[in-house]
Amino acid sequence: MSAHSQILLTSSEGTEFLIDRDIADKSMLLKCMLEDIGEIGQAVPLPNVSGPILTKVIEYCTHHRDDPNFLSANDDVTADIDEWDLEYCKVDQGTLYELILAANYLDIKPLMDLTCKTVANMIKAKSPEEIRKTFNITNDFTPEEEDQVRRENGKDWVDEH
Amino acid sequence: MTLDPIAFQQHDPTRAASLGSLHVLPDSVTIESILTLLSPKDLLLLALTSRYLNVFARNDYVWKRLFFDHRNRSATRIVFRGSWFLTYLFPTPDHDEACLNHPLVKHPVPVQETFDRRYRYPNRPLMIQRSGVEQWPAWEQWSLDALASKYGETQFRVSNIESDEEPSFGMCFQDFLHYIRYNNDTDPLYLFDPYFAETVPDMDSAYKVPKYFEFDYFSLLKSDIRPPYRWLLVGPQRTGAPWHVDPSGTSGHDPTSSERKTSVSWYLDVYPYLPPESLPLEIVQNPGQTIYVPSGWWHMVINMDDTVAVTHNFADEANLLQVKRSMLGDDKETTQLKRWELLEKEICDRRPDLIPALTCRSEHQLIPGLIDKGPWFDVDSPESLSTWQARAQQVLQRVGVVSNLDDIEPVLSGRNICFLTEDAFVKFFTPYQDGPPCFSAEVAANRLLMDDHESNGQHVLSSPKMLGHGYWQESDHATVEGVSEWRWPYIVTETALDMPLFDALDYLPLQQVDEGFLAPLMDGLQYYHTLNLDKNAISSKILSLSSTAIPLRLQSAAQNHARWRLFPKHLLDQLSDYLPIVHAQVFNPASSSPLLQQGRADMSASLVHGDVNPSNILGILSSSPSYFSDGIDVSYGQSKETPELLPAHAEFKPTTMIDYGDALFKSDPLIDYVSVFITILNSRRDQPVIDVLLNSWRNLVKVNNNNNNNNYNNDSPQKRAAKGEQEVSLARRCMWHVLLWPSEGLTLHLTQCVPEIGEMKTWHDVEEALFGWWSAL
Repeated sequence: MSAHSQILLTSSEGTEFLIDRDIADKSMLLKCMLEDIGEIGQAVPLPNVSGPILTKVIEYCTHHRDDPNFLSANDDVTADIDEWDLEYCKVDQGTLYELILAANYLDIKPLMDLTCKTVANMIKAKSPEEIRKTFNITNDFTPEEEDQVRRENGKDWVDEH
Repeated sequence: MTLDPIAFQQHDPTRAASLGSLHVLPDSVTIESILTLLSPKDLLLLALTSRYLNVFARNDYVWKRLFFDHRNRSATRIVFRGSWFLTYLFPTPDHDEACLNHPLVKHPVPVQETFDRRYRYPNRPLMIQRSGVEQWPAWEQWSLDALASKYGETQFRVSNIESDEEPSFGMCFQDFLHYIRYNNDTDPLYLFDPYFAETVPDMDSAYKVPKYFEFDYFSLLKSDIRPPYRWLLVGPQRTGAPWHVDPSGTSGHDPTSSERKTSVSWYLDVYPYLPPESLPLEIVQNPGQTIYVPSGWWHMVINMDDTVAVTHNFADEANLLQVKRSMLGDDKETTQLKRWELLEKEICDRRPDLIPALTCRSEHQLIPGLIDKGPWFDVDSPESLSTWQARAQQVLQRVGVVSNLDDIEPVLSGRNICFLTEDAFVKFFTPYQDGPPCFSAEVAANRLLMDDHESNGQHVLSSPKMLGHGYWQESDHATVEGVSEWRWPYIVTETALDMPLFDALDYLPLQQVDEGFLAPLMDGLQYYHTLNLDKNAISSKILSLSSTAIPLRLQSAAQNHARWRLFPKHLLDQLSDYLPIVHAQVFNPASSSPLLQQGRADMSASLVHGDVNPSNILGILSSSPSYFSDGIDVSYGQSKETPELLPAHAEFKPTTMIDYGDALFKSDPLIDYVSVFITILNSRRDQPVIDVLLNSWRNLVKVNNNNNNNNYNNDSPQKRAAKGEQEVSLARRCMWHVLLWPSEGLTLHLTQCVPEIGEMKTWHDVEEALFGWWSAL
């Protein structure tokens, strides 16, 4: 396997992306596929990933290209996010979710962890009303249901801790 | 119509609203990858935001991870609370008290009445925490060692689930105890003895059946014919009863069939792979606790410890119909039939109020002369389906619609036999006794609406054009001879293209009911209610059918409710006192009123639809322009494909009413109000929707006063009261209409939407709770 070989990817709208093999290998999906069938010189279609998102994904993999701890770096999910990653995730919610879906599909665990952690941080330490506002969630409980959920969740317990 | 489940899920507007922008992510990603990053406190707050997120935040996979991440590793015990969520909240044995008080753990000791209302009649299971077991002599005397010292030599029946040769055999207790102590079987032997109390009369007096279950109809049978009804169960860990439903007829509670998966193997092989929506209810039964398993509930038991237990099967008032069905349905065993016949006689002597429920068979309602001709109207049988399809083709031809047999699709619609093609809809009316009046009403209503349409043009709600209809002959001529003599009552209309509200409801936000379609629907009904009948002749035969409808309903109401048994017994007992004595109290039209002299005259509507429910209202489902900037209508109906993209914020605009089989002429418009309130609003009493109903009624009164100045009594209620006239409130008349409703669907829907009715003491309470809003007029 040559470290300098290149792989051609096609995004959902048919745009072609030529990337280095070691960048492609950050995706477990592509890595396993390329190991299984070899480089056959044809473009790999990625019908679930749009061009702009694929560009973002490649940007991430390129930045972490030489990261020796790429696969274990984010194992500690409570660790703080480094500055570049933080900046990288400053995108609108729609893009963030598309990145999650792409990371999930392409099986890039550190990107998946990073994007999911970003969403989790948007939920953390907020009141239900603030969470609703952040995600445009409709409160579809009836008053009785809301009351019951409150009781079942042990409201006192929530306040106490 | 096929849908990709994931695409469908993502375009489900209920889900989209409840999850907000997160709805684009698959549930598994949200739960497993995002929620697992949250702290317990954040999860509990998230659970308060919406229904979907409540379910997500309570996912037990998430809580299991939290439990093991956070647990005190020096703790010597892990007390599992039935779910990891509860186990996390109450991690140590010291939390037992708090756990018992948690709303998810229900161990009430209900009084008899509460038990009957909340559990027995609704057929819901219950765990009873303290039912007096501690006071039984058995509480002290039935430890394994005590049993062995007292009954060590006594033979009991023991089951061997793994053997076909000898599925049960006798074994003395001390040998069995020895086995319990030393066995390592995966599926151990289980002492399972229905005759223990006969073998050891002492054991009969060592326990007492909890008060709720004392009465068993089977106890009316002599002991030689009474089926086994109680079992002593003694078994080591891992024994239990595999999945089963208690035999209501109880010819034998038989957990020994080797074809079934044993409890242990089910827990090992199946349970871990069940998706969350297929998981059963689970509860750990501790010593001293009693579980009530209602009739028809599948259940299984696995003993987590060496166990001694007693189980009883019984027939009570709540499950008597299931018992009957199961005993009569057992064609293998003739003793079951004999048992039932004896039982039925005993019950009828003791409880005459149960007779209607026990004896009524649907054939009794058939028109005489048709009873012997059973099979040809059984639409479920394939031969009969093709026969009816051919008949549908004939009647379609008669009205000029040519169709291939293959294009004539059967449609499920109550008792009637219906077919749909691209162009036309055919309905054959049933040979049951309500067939002829429905047929006449439907034809008359369609004529009336078509005539009015011709002279006055299109209105708010249209109805599909009637293309033709058959004739009703007297029952003794109702044989089907040759093609040319084909005169069965049928009606053919154009195919309605729009979507039934019933299908649209899934896509509608709740407030759409108030704002979107209720007001136009009520306008449409008002158009029916105020149609001018003078120009449109309705035959006197039809009018007399209509005018006898309410009296007939009143006659059969008590009998119907006794048969359906949908309301709780204490209310059924009060029914005859609550129902009016004469039908004129329910509805008393001005024209032919014996009570007119006494001052009360009710507004009469020209045409009452009689069954306004979500299946009978069609309309257009469209996306709201505010959501899709281009505001393109996405609509579909009976004959078109589902749009690929379902709108996230949909609106429903009613266009069409169908099914006039229950139509009444010059009758009470309240009937339609009752129907809308119960079936469309699901008996919701929110102010905005109630305001729409009240406004619509005010309008109707206004129009009626303008039209019928001479007929309608304009005295104010105060003035009438001063004259000493008794006015029946609108609330009461509505409640009476509910009780007089001729088919059980409305009552069933009502009792499902308002289960609290089970706990209301009198009909006046029910009336006030459901229809009290009329007093705002």
